[in-house]
Amino acid sequence: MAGVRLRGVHKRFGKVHAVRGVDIEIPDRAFTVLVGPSGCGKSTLLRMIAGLEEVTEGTVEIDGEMVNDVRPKDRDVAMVFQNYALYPHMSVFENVAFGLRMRNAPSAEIRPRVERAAAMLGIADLLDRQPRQLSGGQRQRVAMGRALVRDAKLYLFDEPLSNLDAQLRDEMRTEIKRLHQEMQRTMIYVTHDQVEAMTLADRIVLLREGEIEQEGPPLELYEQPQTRFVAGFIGSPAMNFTPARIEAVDGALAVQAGEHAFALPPARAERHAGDGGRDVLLGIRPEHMYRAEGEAPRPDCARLLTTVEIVEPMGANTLVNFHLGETSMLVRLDGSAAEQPGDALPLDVDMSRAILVDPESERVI
Amino acid sequence: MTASDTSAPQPASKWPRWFTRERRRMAWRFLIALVVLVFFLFPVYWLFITSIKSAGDIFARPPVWFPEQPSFRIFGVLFKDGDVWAIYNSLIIASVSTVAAMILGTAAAYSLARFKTGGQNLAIWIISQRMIPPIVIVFPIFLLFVWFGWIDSYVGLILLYIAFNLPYVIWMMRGYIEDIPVEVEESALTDGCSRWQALRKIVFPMARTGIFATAVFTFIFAWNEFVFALILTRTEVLTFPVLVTHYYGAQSTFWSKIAALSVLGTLPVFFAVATLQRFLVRGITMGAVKG
Repeated sequence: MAGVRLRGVHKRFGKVHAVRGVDIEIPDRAFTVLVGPSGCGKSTLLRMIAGLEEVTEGTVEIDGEMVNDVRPKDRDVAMVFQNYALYPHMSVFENVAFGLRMRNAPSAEIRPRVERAAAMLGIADLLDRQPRQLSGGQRQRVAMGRALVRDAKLYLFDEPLSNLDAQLRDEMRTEIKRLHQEMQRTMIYVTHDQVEAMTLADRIVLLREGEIEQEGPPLELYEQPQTRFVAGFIGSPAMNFTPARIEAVDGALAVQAGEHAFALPPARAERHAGDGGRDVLLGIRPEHMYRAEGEAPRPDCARLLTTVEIVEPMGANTLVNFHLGETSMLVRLDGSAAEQPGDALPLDVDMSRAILVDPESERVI
Repeated sequence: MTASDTSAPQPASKWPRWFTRERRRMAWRFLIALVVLVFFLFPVYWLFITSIKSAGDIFARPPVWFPEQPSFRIFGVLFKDGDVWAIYNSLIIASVSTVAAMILGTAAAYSLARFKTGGQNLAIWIISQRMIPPIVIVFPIFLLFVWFGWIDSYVGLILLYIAFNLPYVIWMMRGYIEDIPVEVEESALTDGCSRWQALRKIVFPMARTGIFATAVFTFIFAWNEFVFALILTRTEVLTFPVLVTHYYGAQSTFWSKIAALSVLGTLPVFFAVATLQRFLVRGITMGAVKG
């Protein structure tokens, strides 16, 4: 068990500057997710922690010890690879036992430990099979078992679920979370899927083009994104953005988007007192707009009259598409909505949860 | 069950009823296989039969397909006169050079495949070495070997065959190693292997098919090589192909000796391939990674 600390880590592949000065502190026993779009350097970062990739600049510490020049075998990390990377010439049992054998575990210990790991992952009856006889989901479980059977300081996961179909992915995600709760080990998990990041992480590190965009607990990234990128990346469906301007209307501050004025709640208006006339991007999550009821808008909300364009029923809720000026927007309504394309749809937009972004710096103001 | 097996009345056919379409197809296949087999095996048969014919039968017309009194006498002569020593020489030279070329070549191939040593061009340059016609370099090498005192020695031919086979081994093994997903190796590294252990426990077993296939061809090349062996040996370490040519004389040619020694010289290669072919099964990397 150990914490991990990265300080000023850079990675260059020839001319490509893949990781650009990353500082991360990963506490002992935490579940940290490195997330970001492809090419953001998250996998490279994980591979540097594992020792599979050299660090161009900066330091990697595991358990307070600098490991830049320590070989992977001596770092005592266990890793699950995206494409499983099973040993095709060994049985499932030998695949799982391999790490124990290589670390000279007493042979009397190996069988019970392999069997316990196999039971945890529901692959106990596959131990005699060869990898080629397994389905994708089973191979994935073997790959997990191979890591979890070890008593490693650190468990690394490199997009372990991205090759599975949607249903299996949901199952395994829950499984991984349960394993972390049971094992109480430090785990670092790489994914490009923000849903995986949100559901699994104690702490999310969101990367973009080799740099940390924002880090913190999942809900902090969701509630208080610091940049437009974070706001757009976290949350599904993604946040709506529309160009707007902060203006004083009838003595109160409002956000003017096209012909619509969204009054700011008093607390926010205070913060933006000096921003009158400023161009901004207004960001509203689809789930922060509600079907309007009654004459007056809900507290802190602004009323918006829209016309339904596309309806996507999802069972528990319904996605409805409409236009706000030039911008196509999405709203998530509760239940199976009766709305039809062309219907008028009055919405209450929750302005206490909307964000305002500076279009130049793309930072939330 | 095939369509032709049904008892429904069929249009009159020129074939008897039991000779169904399925069976006719099988018959054709057997016939073609037989022709191909005869075409390839007849020289081997003729070689063997010549070695046990009497001198008179060898040139008899019409040809003697099987001698009335087969005699293995000539094999005895080869053993008594010590001519079989050439086969022993060939065995030593081909085996040692094959093993050495495989070890060195696989190491180099691993480096090229995994560490991109020398970039893309080094690999091309290496295989281009194999394209040089031997006759072009054999005389400079002769002079070099005279200087080193390697003419007519095991070490000379072994070193030469290693050098000549290395490009082939490197080229082939590079391909086989590149076919192994790098993640499997990385997984072994995080599981506690050193590079060498990962090679021994993961890479080599996974590349086994390629290793044996390459080794077989390397061995066969060294076994059959003629030009270098002819120029660089005299009397002590004659190899089998060179000795065969000694039986062609200005006055007379010892056909039965040629045939008998050739039969003996075919056997090691035959057994080598026969034993190794069970390792030449494909599909060993299946199941390692997704897909």
